[in-house]
Amino acid sequence: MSQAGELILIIIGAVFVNNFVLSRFLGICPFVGVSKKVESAIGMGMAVTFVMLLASTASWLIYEFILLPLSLTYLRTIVFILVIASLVQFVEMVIQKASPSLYKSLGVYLPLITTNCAVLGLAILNIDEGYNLIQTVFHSIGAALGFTLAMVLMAGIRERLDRADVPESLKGAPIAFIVAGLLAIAFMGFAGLL
Amino acid sequence: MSLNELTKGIFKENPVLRLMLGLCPTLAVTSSLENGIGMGLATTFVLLCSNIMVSLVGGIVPKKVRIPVYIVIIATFVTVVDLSMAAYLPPLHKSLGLFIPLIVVNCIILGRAEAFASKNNIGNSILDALGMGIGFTLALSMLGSIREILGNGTILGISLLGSAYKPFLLFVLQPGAFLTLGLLMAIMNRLEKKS
Amino acid sequence: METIKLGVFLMVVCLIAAFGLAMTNRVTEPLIQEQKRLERMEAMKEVLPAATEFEEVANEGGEPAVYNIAKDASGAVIGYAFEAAPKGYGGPVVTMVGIDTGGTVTGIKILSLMETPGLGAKAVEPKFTDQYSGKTIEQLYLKDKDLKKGDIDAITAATITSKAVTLGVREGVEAMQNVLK
Repeated sequence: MSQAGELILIIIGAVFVNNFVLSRFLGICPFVGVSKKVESAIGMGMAVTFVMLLASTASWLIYEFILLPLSLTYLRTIVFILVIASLVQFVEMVIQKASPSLYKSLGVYLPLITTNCAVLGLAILNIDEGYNLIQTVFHSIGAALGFTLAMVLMAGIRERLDRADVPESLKGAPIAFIVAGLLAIAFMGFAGLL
Repeated sequence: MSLNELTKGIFKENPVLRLMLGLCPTLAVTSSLENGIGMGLATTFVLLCSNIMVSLVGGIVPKKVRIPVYIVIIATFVTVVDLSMAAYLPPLHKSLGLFIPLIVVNCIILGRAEAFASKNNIGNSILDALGMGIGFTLALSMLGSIREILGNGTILGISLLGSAYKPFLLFVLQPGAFLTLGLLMAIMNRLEKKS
Repeated sequence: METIKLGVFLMVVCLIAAFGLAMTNRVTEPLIQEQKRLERMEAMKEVLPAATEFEEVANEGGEPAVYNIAKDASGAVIGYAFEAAPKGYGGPVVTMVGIDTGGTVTGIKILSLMETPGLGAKAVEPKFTDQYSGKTIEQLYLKDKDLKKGDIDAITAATITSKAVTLGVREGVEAMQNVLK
């Protein structure tokens, strides 16, 4: 299996076969919270992509070159989450300067990227699956794409649901989860891809 | 100390079903009742320790670094739980896997630390943690039982419906988690409307 | 100035936390290592039941990195045990493989996996793993879904996991045979 081929497979795997949201159950809170409008879903997706790429690369490097050699691997949870928290602060400042409208529309969900299990989950998975640096980068790209894809799909459906006649008790979260369940079934079809 | 701080986390402000916090583990580890209970208890333990610690040091932490400090406190207790489970409860540790370290980003814990423990005394913080923890565990147990019974025909590994029952596999798989949670929430909404 | 003060405060907190964890780790690490060792022992006994003694060999820079020589009560070598960790659907499927001196698989045992419950996770069941006992390299392919027709039945709707285990075992046996040449 060529190196390049393997990397493509990693991305396809993370986007479709093992979609971070619909298959691994990571990133559910923003998935349910920010997926009401396609526009904010895309904005959130971009912010998360940026954080994921930087955070997993930084975490991998720190683990490989600091924690592992010093036998401090049990500190990885603390170190990884601190890396993520700092990166989110940084991204917040960048977005505030670059696009105040995006900053406003993302609102409180931007700092909440810190508690997005998808970001920390990705950092840990990269280590647990034994990826090298290049594979880590590609895995992160795939994970971010998969997350964004799931959110945008969800937002598209929910925008329509808003205009539909939904029974009272199902309005809001319940119908969102049921839709997610249907999306998950659809994505299970990809399991035969690889 | 008011008893309300304890009970609110169980129904009215149930973290999963009402506040919609901690959804990732809720969906991921409830393919069996045992996993659901295990995760619920582990999270409750971290919640308790973190609430106590934050309540104790809330006064001396400078406002601007409080979130990172809370995160470090929570991450420390999570690592303790991670290592302890690996050492003393290996099968459960294996089943819960990735989601044990992910307890640190369970919004319930940081949420309670920031919204409650940092501003209340130790007694109430303990009750708050217990209430939220029990509520979380209850929600996970409900979800876990439904998914295990329908999807595997067993409860806690014990065969319940006999071999004639063909398990509805969907329930222990990903879609089943979403669908079951959605329906549970809808039912809760219905019940709330009626009362 | 204020940023530095805040930074120092955070650092102190981190150091206290790190210290606490170092203590916890001191207590738990030996237990965790012991668990792993026992698990490995048990798995080796399961795949090579006739063995009474295992000798670990470190294979510097080769595949597999570590393997065990299995000996019976009289001290004669009856086979070898090693771990394979092929990439499955959700992560590595760590498998203990036992082979006899002729290179035929004596048995396998799945030690850990991150596969889908009800599908790929069924790989741990004897119904699947027992298939590998008594197979030679030529037979270590899936019956239907592999390029070369082999003798292993894949788990329904869990082709990825089944393929991974089969590949892992086969490549592991091949590697062992190279080592023993």
